[in-house]
Amino acid sequence: MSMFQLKSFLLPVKALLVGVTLSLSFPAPVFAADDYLSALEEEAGDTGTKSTRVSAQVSTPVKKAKHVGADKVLAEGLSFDEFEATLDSNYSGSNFLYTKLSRSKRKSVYKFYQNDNRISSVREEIVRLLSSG
Amino acid sequence: MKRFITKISTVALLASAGLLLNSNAVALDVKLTDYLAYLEVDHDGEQVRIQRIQDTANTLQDGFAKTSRKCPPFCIQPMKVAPGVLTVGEAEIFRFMERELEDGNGMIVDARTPSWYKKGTIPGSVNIPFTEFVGEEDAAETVKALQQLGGVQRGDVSWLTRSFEKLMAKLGLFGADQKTDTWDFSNAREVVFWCNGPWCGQSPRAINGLLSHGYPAEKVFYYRGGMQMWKVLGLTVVVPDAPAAVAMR
Repeated sequence: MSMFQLKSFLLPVKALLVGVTLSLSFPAPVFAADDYLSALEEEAGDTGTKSTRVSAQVSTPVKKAKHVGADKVLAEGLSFDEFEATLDSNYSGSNFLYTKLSRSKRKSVYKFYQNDNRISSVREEIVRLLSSG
Repeated sequence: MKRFITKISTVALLASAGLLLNSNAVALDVKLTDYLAYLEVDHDGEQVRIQRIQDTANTLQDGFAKTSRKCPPFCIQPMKVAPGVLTVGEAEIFRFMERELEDGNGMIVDARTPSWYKKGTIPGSVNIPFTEFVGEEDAAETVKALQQLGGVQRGDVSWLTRSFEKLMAKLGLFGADQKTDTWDFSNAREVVFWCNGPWCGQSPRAINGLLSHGYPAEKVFYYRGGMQMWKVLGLTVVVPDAPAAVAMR
């Protein structure tokens, strides 16, 4: 093999080596910025669609915007029995007062709850009915 | 006698109920920490109470209940996100809210894209998406973001002044290490960055972008738990732009 033939053989090999070295030195970004943003958007959408049970809680009205996180609310749409059970299990103080009311007044509290499900309002209504004799 | 006792017990009952209502101090079974039942922060001009869901049977039902997302891009982040940046947890966030956020020396940045922010954010947070921090230093959105954090753009600084500042910075004098050729971060705020949690890369990107512009690392904090841990702990979430400012559980 002549010198010229050897050189022409080595040339593509060199080019290949340079190419491999360069590609190793400058690796392509693992996840390009645009791909990342679109993946984020997709995942954000996914989070929304799977939050059905939470959205029911989310849409619970907080009537006074002043303390948006302050007012605890009872779940909406409870039956009378569920309403009483919730008071009993989660709000023992209010329930203690509630149990002092007559059956008809308890029904009034339940009606009140159907319009305003904030526990602070419900508690006020219980006390009002209790003090009204 | 029985009637008398009934009357007394009713009065006592009403008095205690009145006390409860007036003080609004209903005891919380699920406190934030052993010393703190709840706290209130200003969120977009409104006071928001941060407390935990009191229902001990409550579980997550939304997207944050997911265990697995594709990685990349949703890869688990390291505890230490950048040199000099402290990683914090919820208790530190509460203290930060009570001190730095309250007195205006601190900011909490929700570094997520708007589509995430709109679904609910941590009360007291400001939404500055990570994309605002990763651009060129003179890009309009980057300038705006740095200014929001308290950075001040510098005019022409002479070579002599800069040389002196660099020397002082090495010696740790005159707060010279808080200045770059183009920005003065001497009065910049302490900032907590957060995003969706340990699997989210948005706040780490924001932090590294911010540091690349010369923001002092000691003023930057990384809340790695993010929305994931915030929700796991049943802490108050605010849904921005919701009709009547809805607080989400």
